[in-house]
Amino acid sequence: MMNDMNVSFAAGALVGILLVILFALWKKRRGTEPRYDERQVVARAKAAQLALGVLAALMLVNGFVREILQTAWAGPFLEAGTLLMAAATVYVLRCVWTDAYFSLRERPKTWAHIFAVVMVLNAVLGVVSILRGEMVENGLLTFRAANPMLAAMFAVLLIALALKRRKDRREEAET
Amino acid sequence: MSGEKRKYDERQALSRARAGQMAFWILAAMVSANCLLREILGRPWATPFAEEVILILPPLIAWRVRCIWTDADAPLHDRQRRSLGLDIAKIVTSLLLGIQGIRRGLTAENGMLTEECAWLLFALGFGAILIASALRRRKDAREEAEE
Repeated sequence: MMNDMNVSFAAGALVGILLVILFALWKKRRGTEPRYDERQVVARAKAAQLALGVLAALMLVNGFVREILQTAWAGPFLEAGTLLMAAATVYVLRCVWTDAYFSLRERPKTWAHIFAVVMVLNAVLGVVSILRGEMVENGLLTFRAANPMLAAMFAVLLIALALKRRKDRREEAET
Repeated sequence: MSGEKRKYDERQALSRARAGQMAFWILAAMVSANCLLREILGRPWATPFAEEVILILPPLIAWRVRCIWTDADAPLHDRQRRSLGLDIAKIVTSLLLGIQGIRRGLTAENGMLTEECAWLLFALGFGAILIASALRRRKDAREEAEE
């Protein structure tokens, strides 16, 4: 049965998803939704195809690990969240590297600052959870492990953005 | 020809990528629904490996069907006539293995579905692919006749 912690985690995740959907609908209503050119649309589709392969492979590995251990390594929400976060990270990295992450209207610098704030917040929450010993319960990772994972995901994203920017500057300098 | 990598034209490559995109979202939704189901039940509904296989198969089937429907399943230079006999053999074999698993009581273990259930999904998948191919061929034949 669902325990209180997982209910609050699920509720938090649902609220987050709802906010993202409302934000996207609001942008569409204002006519300021992201617009991608043809090349970017193709690149994003290919990135999603890659993410599909990664997610499927990770799921099979997860199945093997759970069969061998004969037990789960985390609660259902965290397990699903970890798999989805890993696939989403691959998707985002591929989009960033093929210059298909930001639409023509978006400002990469503004978003980089937002990502940095989100990364720091999650890193702080993760450190607090580790110091309080709240990461593991009854031999299973708890939902609090999602914070350091999110921090790592955003850190990887920021590194990719920085490397891409450096690559673009080099290419511009050469031409 | 057998040593060459399959080459799809631009339209096919985009169709395949879009089909992959659709399959990714289906799989993500199924993973999310699965974790909710496990939380509500308070226990797994299938053995670990079976659970992952049962979740992965439907999006992959959807991807393949979409590729067939948008004529992006095989490169234009490498079109081989589908062997109906082979397709039917795959369906029948998977179905028989699935039914045998049910009769022997191998599809469930301690109240959880096992990998034996995957045979029925395979049969469903092969069937869907066969139907999609047939409908596509019929659509193409109609369009050719109209021209």
